[in-house]
Amino acid sequence: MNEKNINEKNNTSTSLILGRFKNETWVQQMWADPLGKAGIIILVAVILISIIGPIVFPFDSKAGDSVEGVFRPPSSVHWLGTDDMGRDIFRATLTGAQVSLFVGLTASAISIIVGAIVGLLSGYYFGFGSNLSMRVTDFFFVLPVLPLIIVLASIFGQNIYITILVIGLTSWPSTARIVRSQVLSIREYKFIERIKSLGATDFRIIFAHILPNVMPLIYSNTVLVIAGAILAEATLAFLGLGDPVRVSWGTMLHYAFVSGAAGRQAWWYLLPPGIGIVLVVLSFTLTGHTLDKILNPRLRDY
Amino acid sequence: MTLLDIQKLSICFHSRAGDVHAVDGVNIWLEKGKILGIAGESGCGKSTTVLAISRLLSANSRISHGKIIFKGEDLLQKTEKEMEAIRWKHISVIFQGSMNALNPIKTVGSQIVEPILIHEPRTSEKEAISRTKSLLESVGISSKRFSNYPHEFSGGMRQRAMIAMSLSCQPELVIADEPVTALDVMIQAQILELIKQLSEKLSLSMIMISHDLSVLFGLCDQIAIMYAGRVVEYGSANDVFKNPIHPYTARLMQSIPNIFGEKVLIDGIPGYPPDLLNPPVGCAFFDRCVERMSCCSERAPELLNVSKNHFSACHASYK
Repeated sequence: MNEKNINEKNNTSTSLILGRFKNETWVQQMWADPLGKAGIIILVAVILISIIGPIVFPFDSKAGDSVEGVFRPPSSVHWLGTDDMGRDIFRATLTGAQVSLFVGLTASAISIIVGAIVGLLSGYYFGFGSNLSMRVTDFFFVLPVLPLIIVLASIFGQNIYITILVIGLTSWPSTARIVRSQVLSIREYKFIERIKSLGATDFRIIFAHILPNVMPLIYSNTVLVIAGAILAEATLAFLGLGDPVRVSWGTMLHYAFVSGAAGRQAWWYLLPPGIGIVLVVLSFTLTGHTLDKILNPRLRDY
Repeated sequence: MTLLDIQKLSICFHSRAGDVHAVDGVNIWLEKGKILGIAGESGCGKSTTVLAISRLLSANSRISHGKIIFKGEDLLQKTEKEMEAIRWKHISVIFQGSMNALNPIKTVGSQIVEPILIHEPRTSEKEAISRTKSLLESVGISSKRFSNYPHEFSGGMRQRAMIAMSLSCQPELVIADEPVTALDVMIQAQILELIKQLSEKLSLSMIMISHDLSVLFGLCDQIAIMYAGRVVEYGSANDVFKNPIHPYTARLMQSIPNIFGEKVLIDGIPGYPPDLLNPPVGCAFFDRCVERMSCCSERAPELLNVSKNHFSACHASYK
């Protein structure tokens, strides 16, 4: 048998063995996991609602015109009743979903990018800079984040973009740590030495060869960071440090709280944003854990 | 024409116990189109010497003195930027342990394409891919396997792929650092046959490291024997194998069983190599040598010409 035939034979036998893994993408594997499936369903539903909802049911942020319209329980006109200014809560919840998701996604994008870059660079290079960046990371780790966010938000003002920046720039240390620890082990592999001997620049080694190797970690971490960022936004807004112009679930809870909705037993004001936050955070956590289980072979059981 | 000339190269590694003098005044040279074999026991500085050529030593190493003249230029004087352009384009390396030398999450083909795109930016990706495919064919791998991942290759195929990669930029010098260790004997024979064919076809200049002397004898034009960071014997493969001059080489040759000869008890070399933290002042082989003289422990022998193109570092051989 000549070499070519042997090669072809090898090819078919390996693809037979690997078939189960090869043909299953990670989305399919996630769908097979009940928790992952629940996570995906909720996530897709929330994202669709947050995109389509405000178009179909636009929210009028101007206050209602009569005192009678305030704190009305759910009815056929206002499906989830009205708030302390006579505005429709159903429509507010839909718009709030958009703001909460937007803040969550952009803040975690900043956090992941900063964390991944700090992790990659400080893991790849030795020496003073690497140590310094890890001490900075430690500093952010031990810092009580919530008080810091409150202080920063009150210094820089109540603007949605400031909120995003503040959340993004305080939540990167865990990503940096996780990425760095993985980079430390990958940089010692023989293939990195080989790539160096190809005459590749450090930039190429880090971003074309090490980054793809830590990508699974970054994926599963991203999903968990998003959940944290959405919670952080809700917390800030609930404490009254959110953007007062935009309706988010956090600001809704804040106004429900300050207007005494609980005392008036206006459950329709408190529940929708609360359930929204819980569902979104739950869905991201579920997908994140399932993703982690799929992408981290050590958590896999055969 | 001398392609590579290593002159009095000394390298030490920093460690907590002190400086380890891994390479101590090594002189090696290589003519264009020839294959040089370097042999010696583990830790004698073979890999350190050749990795120094493309300046790939780890950060705790220091090249204390010496010159590495490649095509008339001293590589030790080059900046890191200049070295990046030389690596692979002029000097490529076939690493030992091919299974670890490939990035597990990139296809084998794309990893062979990479050096072409780095060093020849004007080559289109399509051209690089077709070149890679013909390279794969030339090392006996079907070009259909281009987009396979390393784990889908067998050990021998990965080593073939590494050889294809080392030839991707048509380098003037190929360094093979134990290219057949960790492969079984049949595959070793195939790979060596492949290297032999390619080196004849492309008239490659090569440095090959091995501790298997029979491998080197079958393949190389020149052989250098290293011991404790020094070259003890250098000459044509035939001379070194048939008439070893240095006592260490002679004992090494005696330790290879001859399948055609009578049955003899293999005679090892008693003792251990010296501690490279405190290398001996005199000959490094002094303690284990049967032909030692009083001057051997006082003065390190230099690598001198003892007969036509045959060099040895031994006081006993100078007479």
